[in-house]
Amino acid sequence: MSDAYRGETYYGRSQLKPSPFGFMVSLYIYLAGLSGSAQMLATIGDLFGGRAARGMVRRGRWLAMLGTVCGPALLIADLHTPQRFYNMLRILRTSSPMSIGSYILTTFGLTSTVTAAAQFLADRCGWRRLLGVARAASVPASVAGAGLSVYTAALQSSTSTPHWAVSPRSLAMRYGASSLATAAAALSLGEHRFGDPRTARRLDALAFGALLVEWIASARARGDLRRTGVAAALSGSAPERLERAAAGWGTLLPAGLFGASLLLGDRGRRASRSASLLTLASGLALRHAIMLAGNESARRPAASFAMAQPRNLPHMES
Amino acid sequence: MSKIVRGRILFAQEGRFMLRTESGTGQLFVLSHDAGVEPQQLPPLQHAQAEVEVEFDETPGGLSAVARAIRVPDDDLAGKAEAV
Amino acid sequence: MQVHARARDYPQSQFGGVLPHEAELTAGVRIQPGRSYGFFTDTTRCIGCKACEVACKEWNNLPADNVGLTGMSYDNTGALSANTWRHVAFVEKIAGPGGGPAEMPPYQSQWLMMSDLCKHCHNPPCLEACPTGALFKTEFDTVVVQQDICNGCGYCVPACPFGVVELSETDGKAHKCTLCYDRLKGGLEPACAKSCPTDSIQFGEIADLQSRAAERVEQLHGLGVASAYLYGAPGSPGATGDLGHLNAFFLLTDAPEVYNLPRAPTRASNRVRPSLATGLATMAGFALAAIALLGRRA
Repeated sequence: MSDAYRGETYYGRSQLKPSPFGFMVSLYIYLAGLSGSAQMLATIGDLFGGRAARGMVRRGRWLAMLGTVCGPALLIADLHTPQRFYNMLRILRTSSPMSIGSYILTTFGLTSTVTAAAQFLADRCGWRRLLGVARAASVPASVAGAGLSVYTAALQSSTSTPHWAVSPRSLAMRYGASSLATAAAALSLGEHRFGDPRTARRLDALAFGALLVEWIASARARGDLRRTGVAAALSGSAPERLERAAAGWGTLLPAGLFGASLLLGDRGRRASRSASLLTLASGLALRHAIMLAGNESARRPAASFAMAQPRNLPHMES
Repeated sequence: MSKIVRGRILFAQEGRFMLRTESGTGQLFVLSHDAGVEPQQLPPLQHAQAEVEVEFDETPGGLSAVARAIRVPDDDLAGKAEAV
Repeated sequence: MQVHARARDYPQSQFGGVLPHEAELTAGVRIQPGRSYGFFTDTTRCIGCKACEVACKEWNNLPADNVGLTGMSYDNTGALSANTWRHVAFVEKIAGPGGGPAEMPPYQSQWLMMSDLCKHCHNPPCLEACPTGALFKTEFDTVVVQQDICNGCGYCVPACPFGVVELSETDGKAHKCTLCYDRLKGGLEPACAKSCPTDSIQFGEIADLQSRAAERVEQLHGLGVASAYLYGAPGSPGATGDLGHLNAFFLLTDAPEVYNLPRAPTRASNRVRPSLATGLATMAGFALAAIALLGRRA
């Protein structure tokens, strides 16, 4: 066999099949991350934040219901034989992030519902004792929430789709950071509007840090794509441009605004609000750009053949 | 607009089956995911050589059709098919 | 190929029913559960007749994908899909801009033909990705989608490193070659191999096929076809990245990419752990940062 790949393709036809996932799944990945991280922040606020964090805790628990309600609905609607959705819990397969994720989402949904219901009854009927129930349920909910924020990256990386497969670690960091940034941004919006400005500022600082981590992780992912030769095969395509925008301006611009708002103190509310809205928008753009870029990379034989070269094999190879 | 054809199932493979229509020709169908009939219900219909009524849509290629529903006009056989 | 001794027991030309262990007569192998079966596709013997494609469609009752011409070579099938489980690739090697080549190498002149199919990997990424358990390993060491369980999530489609599995938009399930699971259960050789007139597609037990294939490579090297090599046999291209060997493997004479095959495919599930671990570590880091920031004393 000839040793080096000289760029041959089979009439330029795809070597792989793109995933059948589209915007509904991108939206799910986004909402799952937002809700999962919001639950995690709410629980941390509840356990460590004291009285001042109470409003944030309540709003975080409501936000978690967004993923609980919309998540399964989006996923079931995306199945091609939706009436068999329950087969997702037929087995547990640890080699399949989709199987792992089904259990994470189920655990998150059940515990988040208990948390939110207990919070609601405590607020409405004054049954303060139920706050203990909410706290007890929110701990497993936030652990599942942390999983919900990142397992979708493992789901995409554990395929043969070049764009996703070449950066399993960086993609997980990007999704984790983006999930936390969007959750902190959404909660900060709520705090500025209805709650405690000091808590809002701390959430802003958290979002600022998460956006920087996301920017670094995206730069790492770009390195992975370049090193494996997948970047060259994708350059100039529309998904690639969208991804660059979401990962570049989509992180640096809101991070800059959060930074400015933190420096301005009480006068920085406007900057914080713009930064939060931008973070929320760029989080969704990032998920969908990565979805589209992945599907496009599967369609392009130059990308799949570049990835499937011996030099890109993992080192554990004997 | 769905069409309707009557015939007997010649053979079935997973969700695909060949129907010998009343006019004597063979026609290939693929069960739609919302047909309300599962693939494992097809072999009993074939073995019983029951007359079935298939509601279908033609596909652009024209070599197979999408079965939207299968009905068994004879009630006894319907029971047999359901029992599987 | 030698005719099996049992063939003498059946001198008649028409039979009342299926012969017991018919594969013994047609492929020289008795099919028994618990053993590994597969295909060795010798592309130097392929004449591009597409009998395998037709036999597959006929036996499995598969509809045509598209009725038309692709406009490239004699390949009007294009690719493997939900309704096409065997696909004959046609590669015409045209040397330089000046037209045809000056010299014709032995074997196949300027045409490469290869009958492609699901590779039935030893560690199948599609199976490892399937969250419902619809994809399973049969008692013949082949990989099959159970149609009564598949819910059409589509995760096996991007998982496959060979671009084999596809979802059918019609019935909403994933489909691919079953290595004629129903025929194997009945002791019959798979339809494509049985129909192959040149024995380019050979069906048998994996160990037997692998040694037969190694011999064939030796023979071809002796005849001057130095470019012949195996794809998907243990330790060869295609059987990389922890996929293990492929139960459907090939003898090729040009780079794998020429036949639309990846040179070094990988096992997708090996990426689950690094990705999940990095993600959870990232979240743990953020949780600590949040505790520091949102904590009462801050």
